[in-house]
Amino acid sequence: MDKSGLRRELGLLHATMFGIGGAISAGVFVMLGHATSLAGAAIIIVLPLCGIINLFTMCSYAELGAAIPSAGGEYTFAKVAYGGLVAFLTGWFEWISNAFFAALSSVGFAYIVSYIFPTINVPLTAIIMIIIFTVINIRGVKEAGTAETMMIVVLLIILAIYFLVGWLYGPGTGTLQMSAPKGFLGIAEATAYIFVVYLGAEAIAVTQAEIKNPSKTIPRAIILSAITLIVVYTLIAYVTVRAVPPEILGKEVSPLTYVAGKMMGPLGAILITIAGMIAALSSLNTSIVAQSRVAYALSRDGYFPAAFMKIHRRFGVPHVAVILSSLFTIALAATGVIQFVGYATDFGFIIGFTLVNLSLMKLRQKKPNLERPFKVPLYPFTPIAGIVTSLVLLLFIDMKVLTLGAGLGVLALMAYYLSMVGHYRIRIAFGGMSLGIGVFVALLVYMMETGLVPLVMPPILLYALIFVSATSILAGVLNITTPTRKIF
Amino acid sequence: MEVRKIVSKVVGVAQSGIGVLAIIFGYILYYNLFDIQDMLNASAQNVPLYFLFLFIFGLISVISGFFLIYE
Repeated sequence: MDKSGLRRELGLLHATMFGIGGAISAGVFVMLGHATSLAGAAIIIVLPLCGIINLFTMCSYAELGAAIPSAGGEYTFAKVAYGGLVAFLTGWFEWISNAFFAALSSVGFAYIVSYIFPTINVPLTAIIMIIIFTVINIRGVKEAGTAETMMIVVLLIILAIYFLVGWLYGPGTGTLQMSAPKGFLGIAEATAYIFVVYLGAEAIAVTQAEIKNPSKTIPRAIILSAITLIVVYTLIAYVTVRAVPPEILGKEVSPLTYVAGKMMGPLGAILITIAGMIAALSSLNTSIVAQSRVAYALSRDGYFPAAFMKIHRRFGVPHVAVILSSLFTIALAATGVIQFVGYATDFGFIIGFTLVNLSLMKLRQKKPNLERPFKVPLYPFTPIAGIVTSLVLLLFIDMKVLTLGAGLGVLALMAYYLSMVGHYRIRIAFGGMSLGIGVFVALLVYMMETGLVPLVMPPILLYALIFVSATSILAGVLNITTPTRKIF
Repeated sequence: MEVRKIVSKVVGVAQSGIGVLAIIFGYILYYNLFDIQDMLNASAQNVPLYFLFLFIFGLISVISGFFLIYE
């Protein structure tokens, strides 16, 4: 057991599956069509290109994860490198992004199910899935890891069948005509658009306090999952554009299902739909694990309420963090505003990537003697390439994302400074507001009674206002005269 | 000290209750459930403002009440 109370129960297989499962979401099943309409057959270059951009930052995750193997991932790296506001902002964006990603995955799952059962209630199905995976996660990280491994093994088998059937018996001429109808700009837009399919693999770093032999397992699992993703996505894209021309794929809502139907008939379409559902559930599982561990780390350092830090005696997981983070996800999933959720996920992860690379460079300067079981190759070019490519991707994302990001940043600053002010002062402030409201309502009642305000009210409402005023004044006085000076 | 704790809890529950009711009332007014805007002669133009007041008042009351309940 780690000194934090979390249990080290995840081996190389479980950790790698967390990485792959975190990244392969419903996205690849539905986004390939639009990406192909932007890049044409050059999508088979775009996907490995995204993978290489992802690999730059994954190398930084591998070095930092092996050198600082405690819960919290990016937040913990930024805390050691910078501390203070930068660390909090990193943790905040990581937590929010994972909550949004979990909501996105659950709603994505519900939409895929609705293709088979059109009468289902999408938000309700999404909420039920979040509850099921919350329960699995409370039962223990090993159970969550086992569930993840099983799902990913089934998913990879289905994708392997898709590739083999497409390769051996699929329609098409067998040769691929390389084309990029919109030129370089189309390829750049497609890269920014489809990059999200690689996001989520960094969940390994977040669960690092629960990984066995972390100095060896973490870098291996991160690099292994990043390379596996490049291979899987490139092969899928290859057989897909080989079987069906890009201009037709671009018009399909679920291009993989369409192509599977062409290659294998209705059975193929059903198989790929099942794969889409599994992919959505595995990313839901990973993001629930990730967001709860970030909340745990933020609570450990006093930014979030102490309740998030409680570890379940029997299961050894931060169960309160899992439950409260899942409630937040349920609230997001219930809105069904999938576009907003998707935008927020993109922005948060890309900012997180930049901060991780910056943390790596800062730590190389600040702590040159820190034991590093894995070192980023070609330093400093690799992390610089990670920062530049992430920021360039941000330029090609919708303007709404940047506005939303600025809003989330302001919220983060408010939360940070409120946590710095401390419990006692916040309580005094709310006591003062309560007292002010109570006095204002009392004054209003007095003015109505004496005719200074020409407003007639039935006696019952007047008594209700007097009750509200008395309660607010009393509450204000009690809060202001609180005997404890508790700072969390 | 015990008396203060009991008083704090009672006042806290009452204030939180008032806050929750204010927010619910705000929503009822905003969405004009049960034709409440006609019943109260509230002009539709001012309803968002009433909702904002009720929501902020409710939120402050709930938070202040929770501080007392968990003193």
